[in-house]
Amino acid sequence: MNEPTSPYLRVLHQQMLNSLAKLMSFRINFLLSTIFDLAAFVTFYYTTDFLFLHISHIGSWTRENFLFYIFWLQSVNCIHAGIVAPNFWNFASEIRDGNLDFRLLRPLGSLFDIFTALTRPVALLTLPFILGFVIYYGIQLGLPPMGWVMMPFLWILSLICIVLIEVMISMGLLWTKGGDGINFVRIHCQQFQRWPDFVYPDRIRWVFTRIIPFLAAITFPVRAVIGQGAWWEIPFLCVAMVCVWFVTKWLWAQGLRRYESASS
Amino acid sequence: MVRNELGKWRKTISVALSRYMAFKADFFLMLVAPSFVFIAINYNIWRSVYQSRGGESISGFTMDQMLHYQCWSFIITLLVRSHRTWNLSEHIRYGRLTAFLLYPFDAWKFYASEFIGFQLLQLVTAALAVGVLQVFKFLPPLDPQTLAIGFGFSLLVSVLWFALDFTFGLAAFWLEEVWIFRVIFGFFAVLFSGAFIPIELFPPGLQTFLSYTPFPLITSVPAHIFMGTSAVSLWSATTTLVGWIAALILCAAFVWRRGLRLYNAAGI
Repeated sequence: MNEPTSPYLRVLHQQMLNSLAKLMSFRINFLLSTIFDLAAFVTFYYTTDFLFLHISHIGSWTRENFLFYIFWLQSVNCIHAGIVAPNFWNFASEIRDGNLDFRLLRPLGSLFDIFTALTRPVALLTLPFILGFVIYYGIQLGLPPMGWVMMPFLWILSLICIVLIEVMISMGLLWTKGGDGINFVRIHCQQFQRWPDFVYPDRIRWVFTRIIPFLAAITFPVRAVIGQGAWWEIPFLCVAMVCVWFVTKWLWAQGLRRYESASS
Repeated sequence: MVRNELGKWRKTISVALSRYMAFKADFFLMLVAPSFVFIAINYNIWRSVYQSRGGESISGFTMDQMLHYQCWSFIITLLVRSHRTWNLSEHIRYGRLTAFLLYPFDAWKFYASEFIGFQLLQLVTAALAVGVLQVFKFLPPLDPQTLAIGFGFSLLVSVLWFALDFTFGLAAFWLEEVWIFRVIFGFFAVLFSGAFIPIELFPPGLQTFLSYTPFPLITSVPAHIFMGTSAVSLWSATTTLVGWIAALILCAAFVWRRGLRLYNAAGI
């Protein structure tokens, strides 16, 4: 197999291979993980479906709009759950146990190492299946040609934005002692993304699109793809992403000063 | 003898309570996050749905009834869904269970004490939440009797949830990771218990199927008890609930005995 040339991609590649080997040695876990991903998919789908048994639209969006939105979110979550998500809890426990020391000493960007240390390759297996639904509902909605062209770029933008925001929130772990509270908040914030921004009242919408762009990360790219977005939304999201990255770097530097290294 | 036993329970519950509140920021965030998310998401989504329909009712639910239902669903979630046995699987895998087998206080009693300690905190949180929701007119004024019955029934449902959670944890005798069971069950519980969409809005065939499962008891039945709109009598609902709890406890006891035969006390 050809190995990636970038050292970071090589590390990620090796992490994935290790996780896959571990997963294949515990076959029942592999099966359960697949059922887990399908269960998330089924419950997301039927929540929307049951709702639209009784209504024809919410705001200006129909059932197809919502399902396109939900599958977009789910497909982004596949990558998120496969590469980044398992590491947030691990980060909390490494701070508690002092194991973070070893990551800081490695000749690799510490943030990269922390948030790719554990992977769940099984989550990536459902990606083609879910992307199939994104395309199916895209066809149902009659997306404009420009929407199809922009789709891969905006999908990547959604992914980067979600990951960066969650990494930024998890920097709070360096200030708390237990770690569960911050992760709890992060998981609850994910719930916001399950619905587009227009279902929320103005104040909540403003906070979660302008200050912490959790809602914008999915809603803005989806709206741009289906041709309903305002001109400023995507440029705004790109600028917000850069800001989130700088805030994360600053919080990381500040947090490290507070880190007491329980193992030393 | 009884006094001695009660003393052990009291002490374990008290240690659990101190541990839950040791990390104050974490404890606060874990209390505040679900409340904020509930208000921000469930409540507003249903408001948007009804506004899109010009306030017209859905399957007999007026907008006010639906919003009240969502408030009760939130209170019930606070009271019912604890995961106090989350570290049971770790104890089994790393051989820490050995300590519980040697202590003069059984493992299940230890976990039950942790659960009771957590429920005491959740009871206070839920009571405060009801007060806040009433002050801000999210909920109508309630008579104390309905409130007491609703709280009592929800606490009984929490025993069902604990028994399920404990049984899932015991799967660690056979499997490396058991958190997946809990999360999968959590996904289905949110959907099929009517925590977000009331069961009355499901297709008729699915409603009939669910009536043979414990899912409606987890949210739908207690929510209707609080609202005074329950289609089943309190006696019938309680009997069914107790039946499910008894079945799950027997199941957990069976799994515990079988699992213990496989336990090799790794790490001793």
